[in-house]
Amino acid sequence: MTLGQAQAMAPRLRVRPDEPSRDRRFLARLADWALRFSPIVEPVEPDALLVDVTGCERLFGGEDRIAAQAVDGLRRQGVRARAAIADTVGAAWALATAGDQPASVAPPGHASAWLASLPPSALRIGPKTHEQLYALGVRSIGDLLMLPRELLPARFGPELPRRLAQALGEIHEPVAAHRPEQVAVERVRFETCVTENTHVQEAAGKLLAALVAQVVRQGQALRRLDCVLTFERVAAVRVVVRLSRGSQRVKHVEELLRRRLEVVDCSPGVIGILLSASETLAWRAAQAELFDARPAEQADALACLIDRIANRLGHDAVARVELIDDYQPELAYRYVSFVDGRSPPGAAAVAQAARVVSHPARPLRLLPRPIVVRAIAIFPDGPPTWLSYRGREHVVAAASGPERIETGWWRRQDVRRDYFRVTSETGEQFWVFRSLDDGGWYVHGVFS
Amino acid sequence: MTDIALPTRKNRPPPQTPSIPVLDLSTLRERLRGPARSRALVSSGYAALDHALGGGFQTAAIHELLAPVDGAAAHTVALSAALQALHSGDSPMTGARGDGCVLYLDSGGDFYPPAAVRVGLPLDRLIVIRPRCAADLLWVCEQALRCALVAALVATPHHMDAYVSRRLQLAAEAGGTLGLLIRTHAAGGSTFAATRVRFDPLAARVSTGVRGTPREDGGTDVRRLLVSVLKVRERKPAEPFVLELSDAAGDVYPHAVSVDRSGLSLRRIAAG
Repeated sequence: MTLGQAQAMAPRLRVRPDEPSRDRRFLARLADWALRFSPIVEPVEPDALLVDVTGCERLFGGEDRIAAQAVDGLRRQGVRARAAIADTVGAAWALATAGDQPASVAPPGHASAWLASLPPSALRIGPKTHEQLYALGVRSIGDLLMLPRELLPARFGPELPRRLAQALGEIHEPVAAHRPEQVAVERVRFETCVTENTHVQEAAGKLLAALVAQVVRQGQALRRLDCVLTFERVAAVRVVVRLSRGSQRVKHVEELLRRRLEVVDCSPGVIGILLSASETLAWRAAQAELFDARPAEQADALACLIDRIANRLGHDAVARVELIDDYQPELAYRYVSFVDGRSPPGAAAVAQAARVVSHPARPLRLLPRPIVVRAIAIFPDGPPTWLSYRGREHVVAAASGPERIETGWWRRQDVRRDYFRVTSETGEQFWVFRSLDDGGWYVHGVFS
Repeated sequence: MTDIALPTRKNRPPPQTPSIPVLDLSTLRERLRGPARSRALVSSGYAALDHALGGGFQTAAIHELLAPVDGAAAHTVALSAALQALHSGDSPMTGARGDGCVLYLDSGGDFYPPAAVRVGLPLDRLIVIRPRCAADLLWVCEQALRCALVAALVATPHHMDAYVSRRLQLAAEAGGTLGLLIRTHAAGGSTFAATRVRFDPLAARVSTGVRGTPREDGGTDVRRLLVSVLKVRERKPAEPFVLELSDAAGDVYPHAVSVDRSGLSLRRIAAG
């Protein structure tokens, strides 16, 4: 079914693009979370977690408690999941994928009895093998176990007997431990309270140098730095420094950190500083060009400038522009922050720019929202001949239009406008429109 | 044995006392002022304006564009000059793009980027900064002008006295950047900016039809301005003149984005 067909059948359908890399990241996060049950956790794409809970049941008061807690914890994170605990990976998998309970536990040594009623597809076999089994009338794993085992490889290939043996525990299948990401951390505890802001900055600077050295050793570059100042009596203060691109330069990051620490009130007495490299990137040294005469520092001077400005004004205040294919003028672009880590616009942006140029002229200054103005038009569909805007009256000397923009009904915000570009007798140019809904005149922009 | 004259005690040149080069004050000043690009000129994109400015806007300097009314087209001229500054960083031989960028400080929150694309600005080299207050705006201006990778800065400061303009001028000299400051209030007083140009809109030169019925067939794609150059560094200000801006970007070097412009009216009218 195509997207168009689906949307025709279900008008309220919400469409999300398939993003496997995001799914993978989310699964890795869940794997980190599942470390509370056992140190051995393996994320299996696309949607499974294997946890080796051998010997962990005593900490939780039984295996059924582990399964229930896992399902509960995942539900609280907005994930619907089924948990199963069994002797083997294969059996647990089959119970979790095909079982009817949210949390089920197969007691030790009874895997085959629990598996017997499940369909063979729960055995991690391909759809082709499954079809063959179905054609033979094999509806459950119990039926499959009735078949002579030694004949299976010739009929179905090596996969089915292997999966069966894994589920029954005849072949050992290890759980590959997922290693959680190591975040570089540096911390210091003062023996006495430090109330002097400059001393805190000094100490944080030293910690930062050590932290960056750690990050560099890992072959990474700093992207986000979290600095937590703990106080004796008042709540801790967290300062976050985000960088527009990965950096290994201590001096640059230190300057940004100092600007942020300067305004922190240290008078209650700081007793500890914790710095963590909460986001890092694989370091890719910029390739120097052969005939590049510029000094090396200048190359990332722009990134440093953007970091400094974003650090002071906020990350939303420094942005790149992305054009959007939308006929409603105020929705035809959006600002993209530099810290989002999205790649710069490429060929698509050029094509987009071409479309923009093919539209009739647009004003350089577009009011955030159109302003109602008083205006007089001789003809009902014609341009205004007189308008009053911001306390000044303008007699229209020339006008071009109308450009009708009728769009947005799918946003439930109908926009039906006739745009005119008008020149007043004093030479100023405005972009005005008549709303076809209420018949009123609005100024939307100034050709400036 | 080959006949190579080895430096022996005899044929070695006599040792010279290391001569200290004598530098006069002007050379030292020149050195302090920075690289040679400090005197470079960037076209505004309009031949008549370039002529009045003695070749164009000087880089490593700030320029005041006075726009007493909203529709004075100073933003168009500023973006056109910024575009030329951007292209002046491109390699003249290979056409390879330079790595400079244009910073637009949108303090009013009314900048409309699609219109800037029409002027020809490439989006991947445009950075829009939205300062929240006048102090932030001046701080950003100063920081950005010091950065050599900023080809041009376009800003609309609310308030700028001689002290501020001096500070910004020094920053532009340090970075070798082009600062285009649009001032909406009728500004007087002294300034350290290299130029001060005033733009006043003029009535479009179109024949209006019957009184009260404006022509609907265009006449709006060319804007007329009265340009008064109030100050140019090292030159006598020229007489005010009329500049016509057509919708295409500038009339000197229309740097077209790689698109089909056939649908546009590409009227090139010499200003006069």
